[in-house]
Amino acid sequence: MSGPSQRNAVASADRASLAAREVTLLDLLDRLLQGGVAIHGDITLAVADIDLVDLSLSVVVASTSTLQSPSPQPPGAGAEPIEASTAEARPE
Amino acid sequence: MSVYLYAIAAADTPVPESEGLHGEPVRAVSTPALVAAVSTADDHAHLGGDSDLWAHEQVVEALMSGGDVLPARFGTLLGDDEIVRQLLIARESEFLEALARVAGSYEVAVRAALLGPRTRDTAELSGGEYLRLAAHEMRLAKTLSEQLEHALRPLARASRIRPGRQPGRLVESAWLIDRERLAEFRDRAAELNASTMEAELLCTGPWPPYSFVGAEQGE
Repeated sequence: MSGPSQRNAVASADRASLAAREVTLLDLLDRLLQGGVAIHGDITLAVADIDLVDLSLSVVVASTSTLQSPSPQPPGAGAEPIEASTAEARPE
Repeated sequence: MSVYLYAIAAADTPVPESEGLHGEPVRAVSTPALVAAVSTADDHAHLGGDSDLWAHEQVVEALMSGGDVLPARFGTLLGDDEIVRQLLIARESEFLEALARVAGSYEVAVRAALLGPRTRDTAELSGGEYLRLAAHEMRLAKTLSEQLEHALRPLARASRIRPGRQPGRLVESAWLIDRERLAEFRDRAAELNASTMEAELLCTGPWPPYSFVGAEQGE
């Protein structure tokens, strides 16, 4: 499936590195957990596994310095299936 | 059962017919002025894995491909469709103003990370060495923030720049840019990266405008 999320991969497919996808995941985490419209009142904040998220953050941070290709890429460059990139970005 | 909220948009924005969180179909909850993209969710659903984050993001992006969006914070569950509708009505003017603020825009993230691995574990440093290292990183972060502001602010409608929150992460920033200026913005960021010695700039996006839709974030 060719969802627009795939554009968010930093590196193009041939230069895609694990670290580049991790930076993308890190930016995704920052946005989804701290940004967005906050709805107060009736909501239940249903975020479980936050410890896991924090854990992957520190792993991701540790590896950003290994990025070889930090230059931004044009949209559509990161033609990786999202499932694959998220699976690979997930720390063991 | 509850309703998971992905994003809010103007009423005429097509809501994607796709799968959302946990494979539930995405659907629309509408008022005359606004529409919310939602899906049904288990009250005790566990959220937080990478695939859940991407599922949320994909729905927001699909909605954004048809118009301007206000992404909801991850993990927003409401009781039922009627509560969503009441929310859209109660905060209609706020949401419409926020939509106007982000109209035709993307968010791009730029972070600055210390170049190369840290040579020493900070736990092994003496107090004085640690403080000198911390002071050096603070100065570097301040300089980089100013350089980012100088180089990128002219291309952006709004920006959020803050110090990184972990060692080696010097600066985190978010930029709200006109969609047609995306390539120009990235080129400018790449130029700045090429001329930056001690840090590397990492750019991701385009994102929905997560960092620019809170009521407290209006400019």
